[in-house]
Amino acid sequence: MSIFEILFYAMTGIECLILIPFTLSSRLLNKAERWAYYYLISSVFFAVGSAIIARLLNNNLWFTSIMNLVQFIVLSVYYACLIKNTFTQKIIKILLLPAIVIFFLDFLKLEGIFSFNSIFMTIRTFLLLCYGVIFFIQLLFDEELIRESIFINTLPNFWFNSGLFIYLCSSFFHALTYNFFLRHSVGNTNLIIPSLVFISGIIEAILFYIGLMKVKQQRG
Amino acid sequence: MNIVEIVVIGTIGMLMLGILVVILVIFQQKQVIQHKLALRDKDLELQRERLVAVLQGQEQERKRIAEDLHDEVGAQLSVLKLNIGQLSQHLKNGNGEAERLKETKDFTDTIIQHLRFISQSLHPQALDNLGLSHALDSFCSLMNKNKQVAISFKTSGNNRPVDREKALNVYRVVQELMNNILKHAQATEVLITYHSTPTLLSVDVEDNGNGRLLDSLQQSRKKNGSLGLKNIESRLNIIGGSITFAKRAPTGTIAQIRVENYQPVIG
Repeated sequence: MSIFEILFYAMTGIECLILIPFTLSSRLLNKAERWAYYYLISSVFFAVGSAIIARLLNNNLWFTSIMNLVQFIVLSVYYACLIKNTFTQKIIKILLLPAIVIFFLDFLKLEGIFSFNSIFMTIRTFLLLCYGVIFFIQLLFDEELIRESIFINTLPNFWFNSGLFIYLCSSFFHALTYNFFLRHSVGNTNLIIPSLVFISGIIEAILFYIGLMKVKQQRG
Repeated sequence: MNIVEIVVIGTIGMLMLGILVVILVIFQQKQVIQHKLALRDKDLELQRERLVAVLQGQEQERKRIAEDLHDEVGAQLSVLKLNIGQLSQHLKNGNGEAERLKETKDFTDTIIQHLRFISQSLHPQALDNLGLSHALDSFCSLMNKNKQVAISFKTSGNNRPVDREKALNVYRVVQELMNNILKHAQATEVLITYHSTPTLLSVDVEDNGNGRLLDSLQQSRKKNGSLGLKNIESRLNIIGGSITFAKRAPTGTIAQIRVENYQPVIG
């Protein structure tokens, strides 16, 4: 078993394990946190589904593309719930439409069903990174938090966003170049980048768990 | 360097950047909050200093009025009493003038006593001259003359010197408590116990009333904006003291005043 596979199974295993306490505490979650929970469910489904389809059909890239679109919608709703500025909320919702159009263009026409859809993936990752940064800025300048002396590391959504942000940061170059590597067949070296993405996936899962602990501390 | 290496380095860089951003966000917000807390502390300190200044001004004014009453009005009344005394000796028993003069003299006596009480309440001279324990004792004696409640004072006798500002504030707190007991507690007996160790000063005010002393303090604050409890808390806060209220068996309330490091600082 290669390091690539070990990291993939480790990430999937950790996500599955974290899903148990998340499900048990799902009643404690508020609206935004619930979308983070849906994202976690979709991640587990994504990872398990990819592994099964890869074994059965030898190509899981179509499934990867669809799941990336699903996760983009889930995360867009998550950030729309988190971000307080109504104008930004509207922009996030409006941007869903062109993103879906780009997905279908890329999926059906530009790069194809059985390819890694780099165009859509890069735009998706970039947009989500922007949402993450906006949320960080919102936290930094949140007058209520400063007035009440609430440290942001006590907020569950800070940890969920941190996990997502680290994961999206590390997957940006992967999204941009993976299709190129597959097409030009650069050999085993192209597995290093997904391995790094899986490492950040593990970090993301751990930060999600910290976020869940904060939920339990506050409302448990 | 080939393209794969560049992308790998770029991915590692992005991963590091992501982690760095998260850490920076935590520290930045922490610093902002700590700065805000420091400002709040300064503001509180400033408020405290203002309160001390207001209370000191109030005390000085009280002292001035008390001295004026005692030295001027009191002295004049004493002269009046002497004059009446001399007049009564010259009068013969006739149309009842002697009786009327005696009544006037007694009335003057009552006015002098009232004046002493007001002067003592405004500024206890005993506090400056004899210390907190004696001032409280004298306060109890004075209250006993005027009210229906039996007020007694008990001390262990081992009285150490108390810092002037702290003594005055404790005295005012006891005064405020007594006022509330007399008004609301329906007590017939009050016991003030004074005890001091080298580091702790304790004054307990115990009454056998309806046990509603604390409620009355809080309610009077709500109803008519009286600063009774707030005043007590502010004064004790200034001198680093504390007060607790407990139910007394079988009836009544015990107010326990505690002040640490109460002795005057020499040098």
